[in-house]
Amino acid sequence: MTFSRLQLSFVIILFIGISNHVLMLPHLLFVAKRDAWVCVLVGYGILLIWGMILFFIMSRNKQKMKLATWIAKRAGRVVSASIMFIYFFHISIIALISFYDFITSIKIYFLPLTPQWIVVLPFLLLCVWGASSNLKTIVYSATFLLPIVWILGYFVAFSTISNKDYSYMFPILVNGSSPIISGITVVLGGSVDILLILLLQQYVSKPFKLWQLLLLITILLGLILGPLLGSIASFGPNVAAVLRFPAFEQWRLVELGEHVSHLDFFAVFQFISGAVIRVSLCLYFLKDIGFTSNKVKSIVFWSASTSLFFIGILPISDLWVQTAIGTYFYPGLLLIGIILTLSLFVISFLPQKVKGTEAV
Amino acid sequence: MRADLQMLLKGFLVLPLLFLTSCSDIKEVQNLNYVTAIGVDFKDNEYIGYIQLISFNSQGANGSSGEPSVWVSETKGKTFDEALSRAYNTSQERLLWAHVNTILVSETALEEGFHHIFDVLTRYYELRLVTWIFGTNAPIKDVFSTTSFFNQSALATVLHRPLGTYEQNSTIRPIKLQQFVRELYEPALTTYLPSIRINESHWVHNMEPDPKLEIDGAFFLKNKEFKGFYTLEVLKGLRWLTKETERAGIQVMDDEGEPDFNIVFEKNEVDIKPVEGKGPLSFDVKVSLEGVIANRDANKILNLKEMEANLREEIHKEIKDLYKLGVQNDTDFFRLEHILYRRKNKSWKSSLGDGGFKLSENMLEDIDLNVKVIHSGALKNRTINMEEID
Repeated sequence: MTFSRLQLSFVIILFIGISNHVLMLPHLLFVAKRDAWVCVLVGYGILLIWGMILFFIMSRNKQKMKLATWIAKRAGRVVSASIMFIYFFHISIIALISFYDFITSIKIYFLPLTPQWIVVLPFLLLCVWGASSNLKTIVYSATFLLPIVWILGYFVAFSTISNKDYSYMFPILVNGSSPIISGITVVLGGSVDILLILLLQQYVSKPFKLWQLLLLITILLGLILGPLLGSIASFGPNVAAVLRFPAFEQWRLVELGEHVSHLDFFAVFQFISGAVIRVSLCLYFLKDIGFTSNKVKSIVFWSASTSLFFIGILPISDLWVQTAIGTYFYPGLLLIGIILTLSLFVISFLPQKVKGTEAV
Repeated sequence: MRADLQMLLKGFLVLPLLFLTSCSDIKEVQNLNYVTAIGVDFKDNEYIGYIQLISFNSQGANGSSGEPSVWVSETKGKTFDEALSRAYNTSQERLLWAHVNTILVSETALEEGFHHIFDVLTRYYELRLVTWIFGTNAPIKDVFSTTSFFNQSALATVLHRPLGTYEQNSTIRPIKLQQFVRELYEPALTTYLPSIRINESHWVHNMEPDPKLEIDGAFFLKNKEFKGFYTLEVLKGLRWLTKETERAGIQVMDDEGEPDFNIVFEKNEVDIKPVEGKGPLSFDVKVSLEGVIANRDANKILNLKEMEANLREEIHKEIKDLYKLGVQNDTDFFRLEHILYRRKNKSWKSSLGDGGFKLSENMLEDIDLNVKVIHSGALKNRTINMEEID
């Protein structure tokens, strides 16, 4: 079963958008404050070049093979298994963190008194349902959800214009280079998710063109830049840097005239859309990534789902999680990204073995 | 067939999701007390928290039946949070903070430092940053208990809806908590809160004196530093250099000091920048104003050029006077330091080395005022002179 490039782009935009919008901002603002948007621009430049490398890797897979098979044919089963293991690790971590972050936001702002499992269980059911059949469920929901999410995004951006003063973007680069470097690490680390596009190659009807890939990267970086500039302009860099959900806080500023306010429930729609697509796709990848036996697939799938349930329900302190994400998650992701890119780049130069080994 | 059954089963699994939403977080509207305003005072090393609750009987428009009813609680504690929390003891029903409309901070609490209050107002999820915020010297209990006209609810006051009067007569721009904290936590920026007080002399109701709220000046703050209170009269120059100004009037006198004409400005543009190049630090101020004649008392100055020249002189004087006061009291009314911080960060940093930025008399030498009188209203640029009627 294949999908159009546009359909898959919708999935990717929701998948990465939620992390760029919600998960990344507090950390980016915390390390780089007013310079955060400069970090996004520099990161964008780097990612454009990286996008060309990514495109090269993709173009070496004209047969639309599954990534695991493609690697195995060129570098053997051991290399393929190791790379798939890194992917597996990466996807597990981002699934856990996204799931946890979504549950936390609901706990803080919307349902503080509701027992945790009532929030966790329905949401998890949605994700499991989305991931349990084929990719179609995820793709079709994404194409349905993204336009609404997008319109709501513009709505919050424009309806809070009177609360914003973009002169707070300046002065930049007055605190030396260390905030910039930490900020770029966060931006690049968060963007490593784009590598997951390689896992979707066998589902795309026509291969992505270079400009399409670069446009996708542009949109994804725009998804960081928009709410980032918005929160600096609304709250100033120092207040924005201490907000737990700086992008969402802009929703709480919306006032239409005197009588209409408290429209932040719309944000829940955005939150859920992003989180459902992200977690479902992660679950889907986890079983789809390279396991051949159906039994193993379903063991992986159900143990991953159970872990998500426990991550949502266990009393883990967000204070600890936030520190861990800031200190280890983004630098770690960046490292994963570099390792994956380099090895895939090298592999794409290797000749395809004529007597191809079977898929791992 | 089996697939159909599976689908049906899944459908039944999902159906409850629609009904599960927030079943234990639901709040019955009639079992809530809606806090409409929060006040903070600081006395004898203790924070005093105030909460305003209003009755919904008089929520309607003009002429609704009931008298407006307001309840104000006063509770004390070592911190602001502790003080506010004590109100729970006597609140009878759950207090809902989601509709707080205004925050009122006393001068003593501002002196103690707004950063002690900020965290409480921001962290709790029900409170929003879009509330208005004011300072005051008056007893907060009385301010919260002062109501508006026609038995309207206490929400119809300048404390809750400050924009209406500001649009008609701009001096001290009202400010929302979000904008205020943005400015307070910005390096080198001097911001201000409008000050509320009770005016007992302007109005009578059925011949009885009827106290009303008014904005009588502003409290200035620079980050952790409290810079003091200034009255409206003193702050007249501020409106010309405030971007938010919507409508501001000025009286021009003739040579003998008698009132001649009065202009109301409805458009303004302000641009202040540090002067490039070496030499002592100074700022260029450019102000463009567009106004109309609001009143003409005599026909002394009639030539448009002359009128504009006189206007420039008056406005120039208001700005200069306030600036001088700022130099004396070390209060940066026009935010020059912050403009330097933004535009010439290096110069600002080097000024920190020699004891910080200091305002001096000659920093605001060049004020370029571009004043335009667009029309003269329903009357021509003349008033009828009683001596000349024939």
